[in-house]
Amino acid sequence: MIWDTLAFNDLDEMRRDIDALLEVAGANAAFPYSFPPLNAYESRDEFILIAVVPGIAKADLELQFEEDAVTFTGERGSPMEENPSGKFLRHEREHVRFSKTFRFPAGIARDGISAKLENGILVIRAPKTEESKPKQINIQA
Amino acid sequence: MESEIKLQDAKRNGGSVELMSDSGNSIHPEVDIIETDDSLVFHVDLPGVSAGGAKVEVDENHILALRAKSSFQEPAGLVMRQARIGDYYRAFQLGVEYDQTRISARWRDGVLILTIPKKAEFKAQRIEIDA
Repeated sequence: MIWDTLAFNDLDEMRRDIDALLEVAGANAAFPYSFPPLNAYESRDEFILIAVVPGIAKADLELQFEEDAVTFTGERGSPMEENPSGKFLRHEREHVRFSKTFRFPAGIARDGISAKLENGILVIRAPKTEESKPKQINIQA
Repeated sequence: MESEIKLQDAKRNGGSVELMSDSGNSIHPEVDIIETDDSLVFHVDLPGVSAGGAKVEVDENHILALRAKSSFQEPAGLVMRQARIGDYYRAFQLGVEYDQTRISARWRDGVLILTIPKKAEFKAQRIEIDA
């Protein structure tokens, strides 16, 4: 059957090879980190943690804060669920149940935490406790 | 939800030359591609891209090029990075059996879903076998 042959070619293969040579492929290589990948940012007063979760609706993601850690639990479904008679020609996205914990490096004020999910990016803002904010100490003469 | 993706005829940009010149710092998004009886379905992870932030072009050589721009403002003070967010680019050569004039697009939670129907003469037919 004609459609058993590969229906398209990926024009980026050469570019991928070049990326690998330049060792910049990390973020693009298949699943280099457990799902979901996280970025963390720190300012004087707060930590910002982002989880990159495209394809996950708010209802399919659970956040649990315990002491100074947050655990992300959820599931990313497969596009095959909507196309049961289909077959994968490319399968790069991870479809998994996941549970991943991030421990903040200093105390967070749990009652001030906010979380917002937009366009596949979850942004968590966690204010530092007073004790974990930087302090200035005057040197005595 | 039908998105505001612009489907443009890229005849004026001689296909492969542009593909090479576009490979600078853009991120290569992960994609699932499923072939069904009557179409090709792409699921592309585009975190940070809002509806209207992506452009799909198919040229006369059946090259489908996807470009997207994240509107996510990355905070200052990075201490750990596991994900890159930014400009995305990826291109594929479509088979002649797909009708590139009838691509539809949907957005779902940072994923772009493209559906490209097969031309009628290439659709799979299921024939019932009589006992």
